[in-house]
Amino acid sequence: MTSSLGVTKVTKRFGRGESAVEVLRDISLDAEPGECVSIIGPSGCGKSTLLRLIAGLEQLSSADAGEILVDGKPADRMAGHIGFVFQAYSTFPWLTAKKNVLLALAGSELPPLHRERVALQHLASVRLSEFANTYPDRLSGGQRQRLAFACALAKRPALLLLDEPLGALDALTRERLQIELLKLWLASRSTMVLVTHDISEALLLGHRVLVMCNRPASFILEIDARFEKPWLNGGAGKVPIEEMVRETWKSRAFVDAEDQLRDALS
Amino acid sequence: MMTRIAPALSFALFILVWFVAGRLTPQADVFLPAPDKVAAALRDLFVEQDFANDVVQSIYRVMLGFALAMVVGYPLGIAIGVSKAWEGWVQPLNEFARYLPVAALIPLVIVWAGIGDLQKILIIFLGTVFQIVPMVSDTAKRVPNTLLELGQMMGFSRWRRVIKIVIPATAPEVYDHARIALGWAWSYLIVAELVAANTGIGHVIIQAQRFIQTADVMAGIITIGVIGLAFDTIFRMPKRAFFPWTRS
Repeated sequence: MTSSLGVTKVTKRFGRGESAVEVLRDISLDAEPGECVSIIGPSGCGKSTLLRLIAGLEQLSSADAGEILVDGKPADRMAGHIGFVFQAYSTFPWLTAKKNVLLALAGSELPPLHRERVALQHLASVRLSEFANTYPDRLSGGQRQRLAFACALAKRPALLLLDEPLGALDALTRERLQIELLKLWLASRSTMVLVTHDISEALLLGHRVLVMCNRPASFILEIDARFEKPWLNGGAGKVPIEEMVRETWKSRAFVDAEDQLRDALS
Repeated sequence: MMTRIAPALSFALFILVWFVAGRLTPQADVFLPAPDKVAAALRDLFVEQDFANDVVQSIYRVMLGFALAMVVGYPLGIAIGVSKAWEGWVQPLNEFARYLPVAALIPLVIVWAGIGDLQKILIIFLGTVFQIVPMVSDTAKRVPNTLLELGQMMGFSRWRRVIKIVIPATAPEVYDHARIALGWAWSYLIVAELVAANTGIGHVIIQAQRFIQTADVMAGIITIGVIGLAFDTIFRMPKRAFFPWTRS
């Protein structure tokens, strides 16, 4: 299942009276079903606040403005239907990899007897089958985030929100995981909102990239990033995805877009 | 290698210093009986004065008082840790009670519970429960918010988040708190068996002190130390089996 997202003229303040700080001003953002939108911007500009509002982890109070809808329903009533991957602590340390996925499946419509098989399928999709009985703390950083993706996607969420999910990883692992994430998106075609600091990651995974400026945050640039991505144009499955990604990274359009984003952020 | 034998060496050194000090102290039988005298007193206590029965009585009281304190203190601590309302209502009262000297409560407890086992168990309970509550609540408050939000994203209700996240996340640390609280329970045993007791290690120590049988006093104290150490070791051993994810 994949859903649309509509964020309309959202203004969010923290605090009250004169000490209130306006974090987001007049933010609007739409995502079509199956679309991936990347949001990039400087630290502390309000990207994560926007993501938390969409997730329902923060609420719009009477002093705030705007509306957030997922499939036409208020986002804060969609708990259990939105997947979220944080930079850290996206898995439960006291549960093995398989039990983490099983817990993520709790409350799903799957018959309990089938859940174990489905959990193992999800682990296989992130290449963690052999670590089914391993605790997250004994996995590498990359493996742990792959497990987090498996958990977040387990219930086939209407919307997947990713808050700098690869931010804590080294450059090489990060590059590999970007491709893993792309493969997962291709398999699920979930609507995704990705918050990241990494320009290349935002461009590779996003169909559109939005640049957010400092507080109060607003979008100052939008780039269409569908260019030269064969996997978006029926090319998936014909050539290994790694090869397609390498070609995209080298493409003129990708490099130009990187420069454009770098300029906007500087 | 040195680290492994360090505990045995520290005990050996302690006994050596005690032995020398006992030999050098004038009127050592009254002030500081040497280890061999204390060992002899301990043997006499077990062989001639049915000390084993006192030990069993004390273990029974300590374990029951401690268990009762955990049964009450643990859920209260979790409730305070996860709920501002519970924190507001219960924490100030608990902080007040935590600073009350337990010995001062003995007369009151005798009025409420008489002079039987219940009075001793209640003293141990009162000595430990108000310490357990803040330890558990502090641990519950430190559960990373991201884990709770992850549960929220999975659609868990607040109650389910407590059961599925707060309790397992805090379990290893709470287990350590329980070990510490058990140590306190033993330290309150003497207070509990100070008044109106006719059995128990505390009773034996108080009786020996009245007749200036210092070797018996020390034998009783050492018995508490050995039992405490044994319980701590027994408690420590299964921790890795209970909480396998905490293994380094």
